[in-house]
This record gives sequence, C-alpha cells and structure tokens, in this order.
Amino acid sequence: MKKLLAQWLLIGCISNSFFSQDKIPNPPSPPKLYVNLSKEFPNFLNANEASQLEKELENFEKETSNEIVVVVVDNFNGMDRADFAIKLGEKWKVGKEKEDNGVVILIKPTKTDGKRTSFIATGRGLEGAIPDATCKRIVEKELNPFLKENKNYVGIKATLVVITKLAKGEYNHKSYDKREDNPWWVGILILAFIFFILFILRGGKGGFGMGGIYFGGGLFGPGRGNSNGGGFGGFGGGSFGGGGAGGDW
Amino acid sequence: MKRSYIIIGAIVGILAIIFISYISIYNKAVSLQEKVDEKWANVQSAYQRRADLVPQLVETVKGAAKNEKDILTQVTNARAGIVNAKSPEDLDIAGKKINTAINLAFEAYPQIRSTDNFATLQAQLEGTENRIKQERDLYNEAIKDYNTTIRGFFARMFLNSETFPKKTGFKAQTGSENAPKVQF
Repeated sequence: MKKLLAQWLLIGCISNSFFSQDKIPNPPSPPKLYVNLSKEFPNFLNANEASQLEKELENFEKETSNEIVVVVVDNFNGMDRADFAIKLGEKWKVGKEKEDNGVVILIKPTKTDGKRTSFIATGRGLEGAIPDATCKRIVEKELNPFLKENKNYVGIKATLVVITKLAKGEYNHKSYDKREDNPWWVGILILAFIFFILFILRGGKGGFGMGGIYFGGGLFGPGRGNSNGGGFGGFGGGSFGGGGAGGDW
Repeated sequence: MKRSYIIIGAIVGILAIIFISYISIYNKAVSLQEKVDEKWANVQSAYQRRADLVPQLVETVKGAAKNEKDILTQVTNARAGIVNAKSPEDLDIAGKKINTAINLAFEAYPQIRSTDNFATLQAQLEGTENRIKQERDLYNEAIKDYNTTIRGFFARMFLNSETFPKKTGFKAQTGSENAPKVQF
C-alpha cells in the first residue's frame, strides 16, 4: 500500500513537471534570435525590420558572446510572465554555458489573459550587470511606451540600446538609473581593458595565445560555425536563476 | 579440469560485471546527490536574498516605524532559519517569517508606497520571488533525477538506503496559499 502510494506520487511528480515543460514552446529551428510565435500579430515587426533586428542581435552575439533573444507570443499558457520568460530562457538555453549571459525579451501584445505585457529575463551571469530594478525601468521607460503607440520596432531598438550597453559593461546600471551620459572614466576603463587584453595576448604562456579572445565560446568554437554564411549558430547552454522584471501596458 | 576453469571464469566474470555496475550506480548516485545539494544551496541563497532586502526596507522606513526592532528580530531569526534549514519545510517556515517582517514594515509605514525607492524595492522584491520559485523548481528537478536513480531496480539492490535516502522536494504551492504574502 505504502509502495503503491509512493509510486503514485512519483508518477504524479514526473508527469507534473513534464507538463510544465510542455507549456514552453520549443526553441526555433533553425535557431533565431527574433522569434515571433504570435498568430494574432504575425507582422509584429515587418519583414524588413525583423531581418534588421535579427542581424543586429547576431552581430551583438558575435561581438560580445551575449545572447539576446526577442520572443513574441500570444499567451503564456496559464503561467505568469516571469515564470514563462525564465523557464523559456532555461529551456532554450539562451546564453553561453559558462557565462550564462543570456537575455530573454518577452512580449505579449495580445490581451488574452488580462493585459498586454512584456518581461525582460536576465541569465544568471547578467543579474549583476542588469539588475531587476533596471529591467523594470527599461520596460517602463523604453519598451512599453513605444509598444503602446504601436512603434514596436522603435521600442525594441530603444530597449536593445540600453541592454547591449549594460551587458557589455560599457556603463554600469547605476549610471543608467541616474540617466547620465557616459562618465569620463568609462573611457579610461575601456582603454585599461584593451591594454589588459593586449598584455594577456603578449605575455600569456605558450598555448594561451589567441584563445583569450574567444570569451569562453563554450559550444560555439569557431569550428562549429554556420555553413550558410553568418547566421546564428544556436543557443549556447545558458542558465536562468530568476532575474528580471516586467510591466503591463 | 577444463570445465572447472570455465565455471570459475564465469563466476569471476559475473562478479566483475556486478562490481562494475555497482561502481557505476554508486558514482551516479553520488553525483546526483551532489547536484541536489548544489541546488539546495541555490534555494537557500535565493531565500537569503529576500531576507537581505528587509533591512533595506527598514532603512527606508527608519524613524517612522515603531516596531522596527520587531521587524529586524524577525529577519534575524528567519535568516538563521535559512542557514540551518535542512528540509523544504524548514525553509518554508523561514520564508514565511521574512514575508511577515516585510508586511510589518509596510503596515508600520504605509506612505512607503509613495517614496522614490519604492519602485526599485518592488522590482527587487518581485525578483526575489521569481528567484525563489525558479530555484525551487530546479531543486525539485534535481530531486526527481536523484530519486529515479536510487529507486531503480539494481540501485535498490546495491545502494544503502541510509547513505542514499529518498529525498522530498518542495510541495506544489498548495500549502503556501495561507502563507503571508507580501502586500503592496
């Protein structure tokens, strides 16, 4: 009897967690960084804007290894927006394996369950660079106001300008929160960083050499490139710990 | 003569197979157990993050809250509870204490909602909720992997159930509906 109960519980447990996994859509194949899964808004961005955005996100990934994915959906399958965005990032493995430097920008332009809403989820590695409160501010100041006016592309662009800068560490979140221009010392910091890299490249022991440039490409060695000439190769294995924030509009 | 060699050989072979499978099952159980412990630490730190927000909250309230001391004592207790927590139940208790402390702070100083810091604080509070949820889910997943392994047919024959006890994860949110929720 006890055994039966235990087995029953175990089965319940397993099927339950499978169920929650099923609620999250599968990662796009071929891999993409702008993913529109909405049936109600198939033209959330027009073809031109979509390819432009895709290109920009790919370039950013190549440049800094940060993986930012923009996802548009019709509903969250009964989950709340935070849970949906975080679980999606975890399931798709957005971000590099070692760095966990993925960002999910989730937009639900429909009013299916309540309000139009958006959420920015940060991977474990970016929680420090882009804190929750900053995510909230970005959503409320950059993204949602434009989405409200149906200027979807402008909103996403404005959001990306801030997020890419924060993710790159070009300025820290405090200076964004205060809405200042780049302070002078950022330039010095960048210069110092460049010298640091040069120093490593020159002074490193034997095998290190060029390896230092690839910021732990993880699964994306230069070898596993894309034969179709510069598309996005696939998500790298990043993990999400629950960082991020969102807002309705 | 030849026959006894074959028999001895067969016995040795079987023993070897058993030994090897024992080792592999043992190692797998150990690594899964490690994983469970690692996720547990993540859950704890997610709870601690929430506890650490309370002093910040009190800082905003400072001077206005009459029961500031109560609040801080609550948090200190909860924090100790988090560190010492060995089971999901313990952690739930500590979590409730934190929420009570937060609610106390809100009650003591309702004007807090209009302060500049509040938006930031609110985002942080929501963030800790999301983190706790996520880490709990990941912990449960690790528990599931671990339990399936140690309850397998061979594993049950080989493994000492004291070194590898069946573990319980966090229950679905049923019980926590009564838990003090943070009221904004």
